[in-house]
Amino acid sequence: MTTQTGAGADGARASRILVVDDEEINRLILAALFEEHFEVVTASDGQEALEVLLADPGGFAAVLLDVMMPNVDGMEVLKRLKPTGLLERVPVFLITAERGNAVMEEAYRLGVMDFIGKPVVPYVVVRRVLSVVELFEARKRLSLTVEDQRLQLLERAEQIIELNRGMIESLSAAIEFRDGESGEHVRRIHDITRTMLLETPFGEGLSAEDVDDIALASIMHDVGKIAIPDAILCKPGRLTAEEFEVMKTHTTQGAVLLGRIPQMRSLGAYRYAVDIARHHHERWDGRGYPDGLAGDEISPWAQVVGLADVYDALTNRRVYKPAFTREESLRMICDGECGAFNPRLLECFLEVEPAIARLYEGAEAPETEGER
Amino acid sequence: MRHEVLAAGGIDVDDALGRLMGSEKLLARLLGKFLDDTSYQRFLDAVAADDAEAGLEAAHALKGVSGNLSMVRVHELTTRACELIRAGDWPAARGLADELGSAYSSVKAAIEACEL
Repeated sequence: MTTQTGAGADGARASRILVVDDEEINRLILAALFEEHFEVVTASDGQEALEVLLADPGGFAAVLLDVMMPNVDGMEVLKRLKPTGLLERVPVFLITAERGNAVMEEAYRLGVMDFIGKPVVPYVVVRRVLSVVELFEARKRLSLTVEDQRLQLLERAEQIIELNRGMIESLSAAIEFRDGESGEHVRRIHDITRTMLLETPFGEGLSAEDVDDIALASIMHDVGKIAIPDAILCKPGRLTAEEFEVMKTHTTQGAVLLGRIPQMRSLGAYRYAVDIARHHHERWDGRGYPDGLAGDEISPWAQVVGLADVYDALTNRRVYKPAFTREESLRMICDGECGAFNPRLLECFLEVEPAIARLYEGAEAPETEGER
Repeated sequence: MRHEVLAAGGIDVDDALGRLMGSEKLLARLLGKFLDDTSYQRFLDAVAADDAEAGLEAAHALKGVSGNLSMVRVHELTTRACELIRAGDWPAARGLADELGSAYSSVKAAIEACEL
């Protein structure tokens, strides 16, 4: 391999081209034509050309390749370069006197850029090669820009998702604050729901994306409480029958409220959120509210959030009750003291409950009240 | 460099210089290198050995170089030789050897006369 320097009068184009021809005279002519524009590297056969190219695949702006050479000829060079993908990044020109034959067709199929006729016509060759090199450089710059923009958009989309989530959490926590909860309640419902769906057979058939949407939706299960008057929501001790009827409407009010936020509808979590808000107090035996759904009429996600809500309320102190121990809480749930649950749901829950309990450890002592 | 001597030897000097951006120095250098080029001799060897494949290779190489250096007659004859061999008529291509020999000799003599 020989290198002829001639980095260009303006010095702006520092790139190199590779000239491959077994005849020294032909190499010298092409080198003379291009030394004004490029640093010209030459190779005297296909094997040498492949070695030079593969040692530095990004190092050349173009390749001028003779077809007929002893040993490894120009077509063979193309065939070996094809699988490397180099032909898509570096324009290769075949130097040939023969045109319109099967060789040309095959060369185009392999990804050659263009043909240079022999004997060479200087201004045509130079113009054509320079144009294509410029095109490739422009394309490279463009694709870098597009990639940059794609990454920026992706980053922005992630920020928006995070913001959405943050706002939903904040709003839900603010609602919980009204009846004296710490805001931790919604976080725990989120975590329990996620754990149940990801780590037990109860989440079978749901994709990771579905589970994320459901967990996000679970945060909003009690948004309807914003419509319940303080006198009822924050009342210590037992509610009267009338008061309890009002309290129960937090489910339907929640679903209505969510339906009124047009931006919510485009979220994947939307349909889950509405369903969960309305149905997290339904029970397996049909004795829950507001619709008295029974068994599989209640969606799996509403069932999971319903159970998570009861478990979290039992194991933490509320204005109308003290905190129960885990054992006592589980016994009450299994004995149906908080309404009937799907036996399969309970089975799955008992499986992961120790892991869920560990999520609570280390968290600050709960100071909560109010599952109703 | 004496253009008329080279022209009489069968070289289109203006055409060749055009390819070299007018550089007589480079043309002189390349013509000097042509004297060391082995493709004509390889063609003769192929004719003697009756080897069509080697004949094509040599004729093709000579065609490329003579074309780039605007050696009109040599280029014409080697172009025809290549076509004939590719068409399967090696005997006819071989028959061009004498004519090619005289065209090659003229070019060679002209270059040597210019003492390049």
